[in-house]
Amino acid sequence: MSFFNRNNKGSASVARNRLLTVLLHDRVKLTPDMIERLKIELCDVIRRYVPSIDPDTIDIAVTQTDNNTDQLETRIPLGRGRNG
Amino acid sequence: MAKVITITSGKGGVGKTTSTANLGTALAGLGNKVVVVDADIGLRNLDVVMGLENRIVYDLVDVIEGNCRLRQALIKDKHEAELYLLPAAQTRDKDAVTQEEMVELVDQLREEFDFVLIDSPAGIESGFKNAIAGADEIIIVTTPEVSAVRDADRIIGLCEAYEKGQPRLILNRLRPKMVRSGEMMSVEDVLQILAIDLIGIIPEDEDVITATNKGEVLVLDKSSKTGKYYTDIARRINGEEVAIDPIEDTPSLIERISNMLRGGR
Repeated sequence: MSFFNRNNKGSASVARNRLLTVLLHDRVKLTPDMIERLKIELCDVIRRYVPSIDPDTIDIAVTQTDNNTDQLETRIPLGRGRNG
Repeated sequence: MAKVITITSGKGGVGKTTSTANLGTALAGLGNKVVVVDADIGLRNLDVVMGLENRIVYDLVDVIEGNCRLRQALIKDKHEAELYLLPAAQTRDKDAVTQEEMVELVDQLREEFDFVLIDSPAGIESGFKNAIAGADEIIIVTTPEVSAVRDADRIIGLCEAYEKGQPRLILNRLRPKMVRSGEMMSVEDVLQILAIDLIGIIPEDEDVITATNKGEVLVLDKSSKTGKYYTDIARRINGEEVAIDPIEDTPSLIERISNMLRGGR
């Protein structure tokens, strides 16, 4: 198939990437429900120090760094409030 | 000292039973006294793969329940004098056996044999747990597909949880041509993802189907490359240092022309 198609990256790399994503989630065993609870609890703690945090804006994801280390990536945007 | 090795995979249909039959035959051919145990209770298969289905009188559950002595249930192989099969029960449920009973049975087999190879059922439930309960070592069979590798990863995690040490991997049904054209995950891809040691690579081979149709195993066919790859794995299990070579496969003429046109490799 695709005799002259040099740009065909092949389905193997697709398989590899899908597998990496699936395994990332399989291995940490974090359900979406647990992530939601984690967000709320994390927010409760951080609010003691930075009151302007909005739990709805927190983003937690299981990701992989460039050198294949699995990590829990958290993005917590600071709200508008200044100095509480 | 006997060694007990369980061959498992998580996913079904990736080649556990074929691998068990070939490795058992090859290990016996290397001068070991070997028993292959079918732990897939209710879905007996190892007997037909080895062509021994007509000789079964008693099975594993009969031994555990004391309906017969262990020796009575062991079936002698057609070809290898020092190879025996302990068949699974076909009409029973997988819950007919407990982990403790399996460990006890395996310990009995240790006294008689150099190698005890246990063919595990697919899945991660009681049948799988029974199959690994008495094992010293685990060999995982997978194919280079997303679902099979995912299940293998789960099994590796369970082996760690049950303190079975790190399993070794047989990568089965590799198609070198598809790997070269980027349409199948490579040996390196799978090893990097699973992060365990490789014990051998088996290519996709139609001869496995024809051999299985006849109830024969490929390691006995001296002209079979796949048989040789299995024998090499058996030698590694046997403690020999045998290098794992990439699967030989000459690129076809069309493939070579196509590679040239691509500014090829």
